[in-house]
Amino acid sequence: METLNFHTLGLAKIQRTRIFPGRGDVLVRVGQKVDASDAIAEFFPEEKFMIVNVRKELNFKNSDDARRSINVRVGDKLTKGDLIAQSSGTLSKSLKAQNDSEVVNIIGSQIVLRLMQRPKAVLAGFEAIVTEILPFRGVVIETNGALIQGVWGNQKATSGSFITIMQDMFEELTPQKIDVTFRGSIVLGGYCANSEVFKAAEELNIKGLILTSMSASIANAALNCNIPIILLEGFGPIPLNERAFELLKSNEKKVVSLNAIYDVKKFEKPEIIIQLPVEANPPVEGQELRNGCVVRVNSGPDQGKAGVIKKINPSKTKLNNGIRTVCAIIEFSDEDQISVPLANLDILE
Amino acid sequence: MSELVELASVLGIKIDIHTTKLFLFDVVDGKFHLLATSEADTSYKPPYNDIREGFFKAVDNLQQISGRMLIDDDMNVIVPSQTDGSGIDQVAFTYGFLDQISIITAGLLEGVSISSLTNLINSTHMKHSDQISLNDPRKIDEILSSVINHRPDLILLSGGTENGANKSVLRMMEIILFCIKHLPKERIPELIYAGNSSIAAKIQEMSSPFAKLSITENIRPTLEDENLTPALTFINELSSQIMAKKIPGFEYLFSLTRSAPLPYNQANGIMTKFLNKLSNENNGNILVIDLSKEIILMAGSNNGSLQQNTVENSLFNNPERFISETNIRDISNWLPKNKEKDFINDYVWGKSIRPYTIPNDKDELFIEISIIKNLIRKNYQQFNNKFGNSFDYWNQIVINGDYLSKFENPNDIALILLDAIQPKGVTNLFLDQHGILPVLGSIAVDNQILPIQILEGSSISLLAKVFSIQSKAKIGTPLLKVRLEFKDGTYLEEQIVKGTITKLPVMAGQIVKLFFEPLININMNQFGKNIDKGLIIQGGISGVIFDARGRPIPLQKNNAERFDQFQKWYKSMDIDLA
Repeated sequence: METLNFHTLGLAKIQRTRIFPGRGDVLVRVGQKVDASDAIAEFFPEEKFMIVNVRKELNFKNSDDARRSINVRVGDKLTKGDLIAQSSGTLSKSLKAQNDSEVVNIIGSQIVLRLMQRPKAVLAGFEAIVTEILPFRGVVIETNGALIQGVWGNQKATSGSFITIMQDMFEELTPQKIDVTFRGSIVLGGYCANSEVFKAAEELNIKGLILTSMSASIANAALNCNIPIILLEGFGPIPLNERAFELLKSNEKKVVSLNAIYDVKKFEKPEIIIQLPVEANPPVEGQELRNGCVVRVNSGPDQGKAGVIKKINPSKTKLNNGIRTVCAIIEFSDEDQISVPLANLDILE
Repeated sequence: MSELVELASVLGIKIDIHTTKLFLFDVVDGKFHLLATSEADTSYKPPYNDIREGFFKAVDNLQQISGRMLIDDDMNVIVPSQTDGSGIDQVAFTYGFLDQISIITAGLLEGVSISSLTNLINSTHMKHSDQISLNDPRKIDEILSSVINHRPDLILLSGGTENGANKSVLRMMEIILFCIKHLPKERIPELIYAGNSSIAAKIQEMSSPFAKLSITENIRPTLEDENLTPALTFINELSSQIMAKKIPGFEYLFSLTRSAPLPYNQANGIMTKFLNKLSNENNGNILVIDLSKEIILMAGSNNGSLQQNTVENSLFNNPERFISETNIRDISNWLPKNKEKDFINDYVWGKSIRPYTIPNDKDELFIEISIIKNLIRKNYQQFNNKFGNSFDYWNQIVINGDYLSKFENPNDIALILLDAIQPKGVTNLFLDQHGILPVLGSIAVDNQILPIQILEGSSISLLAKVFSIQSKAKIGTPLLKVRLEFKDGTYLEEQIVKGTITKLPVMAGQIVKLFFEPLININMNQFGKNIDKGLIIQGGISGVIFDARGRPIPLQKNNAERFDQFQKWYKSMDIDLA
């Protein structure tokens, strides 16, 4: 059974490799400091080609004449309107580039042009130092700081100073709580069930939202919202786990990076990173459930509560709904103990 | 029998991006038996990034369960088996890893080489990125853009029957070469030619300055005949080599096997056709559903033909697609109890983040079951649409119970199948409890005795014999009286009423004689021929089921009435709602 690991750490070395598919360029150098929303590379997700048949277009009778009329060389970068070929004589005709393009090949009297596309940026995602360039493939960036991984995000990134308006872990974020004083900040709210919160946040130029949980009914509004949003727990009214709550509260007013850009297929998660001027060790990846492990209950009535595994039952337990599965005994901070299926636990370390 | 001795102990490996499962077989009392299975998470992901870690974990578990040493101190699999009982004689390997290899095919005509190419690629897990044809409406620059953007690992050219078309095939080759010349050197794909053999040498000559080309037999030697096996065998070998480069650890497992590993769908296809052959019924057909975390596979076979549809399981692998394809109304319509729309919506979105979670209570369990029904139903419709099937008559339906093993009550699984597939006629529902079919298919390449002997055992069990009754009668109309005669002379009579589902208490393996007595004008041929003297049938784990709910199953629009429907159906199926 695969257990999801969501790092919730006060201090760790955070190293991320940003790879781009296809043709592209790295825009940074080793040692360069980058911000969350800085483009560190750009690439062309889709390429378009155009073949210009000079002989046909200029009505040449043979390929040699057509070839001689070509005015460009492989590698030339053309802007729209640039001359590609021209016939000689009094009734001379010319052929001009229809788009910004690059000459990639000339075969006989045919010119293969790669049309210039608008490149797509690869964002750093958090404040970091560039530690390695992977030529034509990507960039490795690194920092030290607190790391809190979320469960869902709306594929945007930013950084800014961070404030919390949560008094307790069960709080709900309503539009009325969005205040003008939050302008330019990243705000930690609670559970959100009203898409007006996103409108208010956009109008007041709030830089980003960290939400405990959200009603799925406003998930599409969150996806369409222009500011980055990260969910820490999930969908439905779920309180924030104590470990994340304390960690975030202790870092209030600091600059945080909110990276809601992630790809599940690459096993990435949305992340909150608070840079700290201390060297640290990388977090342990791929941990498995064991006694003493800090976990979070990820479904059911205790969803969102963090605790410690006291014991993993070796045999399967029959749940009230008839399902038989392996369970663990979890102890919460108030010393309450419950039995939870292993599948319903996230590792928080 | 000599083969049996030579390959006495067999290790079957079934591995995909989520799960590594091992099956240990050996000969006991002259017959192959499944001795033990074990499972571990596949270590494909970071931090391991190498599938060997998960494999050795699963081997450790298997050694503990079976008490047999399979690896030596240097972590090498012991092959062949030793006199001290350690090791194994044969390793067979089937894998998921869908869409890891991108292929572009090129052929001449629809209905001839193009359809053979499609059939060929359907039997692999390769991503069919593009198809170039003689009548391609695209301009050459559009084809070039497609080849560049798809970055194929392989390009497969076919076309021309033997001694048939050659100029058009050469023209297709020119197009392919033109395109690949514009790829960076390190991205130039391997080429395969499986067309008219009379021009194979010319094709080889044309390609040699630019790309590596391999030649295999023509997949369409005549207009009528298709010959996929040699090309498929070649592609399996080539795929394994590419996978070895892409998936760390794959090469190690590949090195243990005698034949090239098979993708799930191909291994499953072998067994689907075989099970169809085994069926005693004339014109019998079979539907095999393999519902794993990585892949949802549907395979249908009728008289030796095979239709297959292999798609990613979006629930575990593509949250965005899972959400966009899941209609909350479809989920709530199949719930036996009222649940707020917001709750269901939150649960479904939550499932997209954490697909592994286990339902905490009955309410969540019913949503979970409804999600599974919806997934199977949607994929079954896609399967039918792909092959233009308009019938739902399946003599046998087999489902891989691996993913469904969390449901303790087999009646839950029977009802999931009946609601999702809604078969008509008489159907035997089977449960492949360990998901063993693809493993047997991969073993069958080198050892054909083992799958036959394992199928005689209990690995695949009869879940239920189902009579789905077609009648235009109104709901509540008595349709039939059925009489079950047991071997001890006792009998049971039951009235089958339109709109109901009835589960008769026939124990698993119990043989009974079934008599039908129509109570209205009803087509009795739907229960088979020569039924006047009774039908001898065998009970499954869920007994014998008469499904008289109608097709498609009519669900009441009114919530209260629909919940009442479900209450009755669940009660009849011995499924506790409380």
